[in-house]
Amino acid sequence: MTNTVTFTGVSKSYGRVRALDDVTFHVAQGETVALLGPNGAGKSTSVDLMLGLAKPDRGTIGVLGTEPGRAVAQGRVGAMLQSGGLPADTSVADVVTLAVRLHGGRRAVAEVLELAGLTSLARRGCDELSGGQAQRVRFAVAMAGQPELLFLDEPTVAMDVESRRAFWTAVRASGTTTVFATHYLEEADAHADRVIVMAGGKVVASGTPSTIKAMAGARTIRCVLDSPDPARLLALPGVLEVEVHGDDVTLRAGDADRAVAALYSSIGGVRDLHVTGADLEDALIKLTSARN
Amino acid sequence: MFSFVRFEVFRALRNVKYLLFLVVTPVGLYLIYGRTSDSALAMVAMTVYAAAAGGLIGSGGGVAEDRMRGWLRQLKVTPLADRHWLAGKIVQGVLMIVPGVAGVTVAAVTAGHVHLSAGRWAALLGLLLLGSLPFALLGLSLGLTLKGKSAQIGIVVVFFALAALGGLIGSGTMPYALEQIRHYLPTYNLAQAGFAIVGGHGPSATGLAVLGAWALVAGAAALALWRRESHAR
Repeated sequence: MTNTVTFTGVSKSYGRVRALDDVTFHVAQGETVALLGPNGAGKSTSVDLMLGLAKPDRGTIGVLGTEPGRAVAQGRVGAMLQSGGLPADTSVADVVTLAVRLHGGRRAVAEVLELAGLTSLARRGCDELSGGQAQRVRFAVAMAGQPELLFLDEPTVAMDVESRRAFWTAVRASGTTTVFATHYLEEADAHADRVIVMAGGKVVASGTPSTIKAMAGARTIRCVLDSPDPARLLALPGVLEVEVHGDDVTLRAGDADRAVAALYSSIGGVRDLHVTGADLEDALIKLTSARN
Repeated sequence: MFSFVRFEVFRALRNVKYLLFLVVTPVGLYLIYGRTSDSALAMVAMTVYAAAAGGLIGSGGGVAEDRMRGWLRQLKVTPLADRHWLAGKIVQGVLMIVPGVAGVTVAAVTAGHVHLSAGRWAALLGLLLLGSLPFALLGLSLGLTLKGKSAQIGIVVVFFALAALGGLIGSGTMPYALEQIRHYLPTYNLAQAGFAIVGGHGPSATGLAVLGAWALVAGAAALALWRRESHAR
C-alpha cells in the first residue's frame, strides 16, 4: 500500500510552546485515520503542517507524493479547518461555486451542494446559517475539487446528532483517504480505520479503534491491602497491570466491576478503595509511560 | 482565472452598508462645505477623500474581517493562486472606490455647477481611477497586518490622518514638519494632481511618481503578507 501522508520526525514550536515533538505517523491510501487527543495535543498543528499552512522546524512531511503546499495548489487536497470561516455578503451558492471553480470545475455545483446537504440552503446568506449549517458549507468547500485526500479538523463540533450521522455518511460515501482530528473517542471509534492518539505534542498510542478503546476504557483502582502479593493481584479477573508500594496498591483494570468484586471475594481486607475513571488523556499517558 | 475576481465583484456589490457609507460621507461633506468655495477644487478633494475611504476602510476593513472570520485560512487551502487573489482584491478595492467618486462628481455637476471640458473630465476620472490603486493596496496591507477588532480602528485612524495631512479635511495650514511630510503622502499628491488637471495644466511628474511608489510598495507588501498569512485567527 502506498502512503498518502508521510509525517516523519516532525517537531514544531510556537514561541516557547512545543506544539509537536518528534512526531511520526503515516496514512495509507484509502485509510480513514483519526487524530485523537485533548485540546493542545498537537492535532490542529499536525493538520496545519500537512496543509502547508505552517512549516515544520524539523522533520519531513510528504502529501500525495509531493510537498504539502504543492498538493494543495494542485487542488488534490480538501480541508475543513477548525478556525476556517465563511465570508460576509455571500450566499452558500456563491461560496460553493467559487470553490468548485477554483478547483477547475471538476464537479457540478449542484452535485457538491447535494452531497453536503445544502441544496435547500443554496440561496441562504452565509451570515444566516446555524453553526452546523456553516460546517456543512465548509465541508462542501473541502469536497468541491473531488480531493484525493481530505483533512477534517474537529468537523462535527457544532453539529447535532442527526447532522453528524449525515456528515459521516457523506464522508464515507466519498471513499476519500481521510485524516480527521477529534477529541471524541466515540467518533474515532465509529469512523476511523486507525486511531493515532496524541497528547502533549507526541503520539502516545496508535492502533485500531478497538485496541485504543480497550486502553482508554481502563480504570484505575487504588486501595490499601495487608502485604499485597502482586502475582495474585495480576491473576484477578479484569486486571491488566499491578503496582505495589508497601501496602498501597494500584491496579489498572479493563473491567473494574469484576476486578473490585474479585478483590473483595478472593483477597479481602480491602481498605480505602476508590476507582478513578476513564480519563482518556490520563489513561493513555499512563499506559504509554508504563510501556516505556 | 476570473472566478475569484467575479466572486469579489458580486460580494462588493452586495455590501450595501459600506457602499452607502462610502458615498454618503464624501457627497455630504461636499454639499455642506464644497459649494461655498471653489467648487471644482472641493470636488477634487472630496473625490480623493472617497477614493481613500473606499480603499482603506472599504477594502482594507473587508480583508481584516475576512481574516478575523477565518475565510482567508479557508482560501489558503484551495488552489487559488497568489496573483489571482491580488487581482481579485484590486478589482474589489476599485469597486469600493467608484461609487464615492461617482457620487461626488454627480453632486459637483448638479449642485456645485462645476463645468469642465470633456478632455479634462476624462483626464480627471482616469487619474482618480489609477490614483486610487495605492489606497486599495494600502488598505489590503493594513487589513493583513492589524489584528482583530483593532484592525478596524487602526484603519480609520490611518485614513483620517492621511485625509487631514493631505489637506482633504481641516484647515489646510500645517506646522513646518507636517508640511514637509505631506509631500510624500498619497492623499496630498492625488489631490494636487487633480487640482492641476482642473486648473488646465498636467500633474507634476514627482507627484505621480510618489503615487506610483506607494502603489508598488503597498502592492508588494500586500502580496508578501498574503503569502505569509496562515496563522492569524
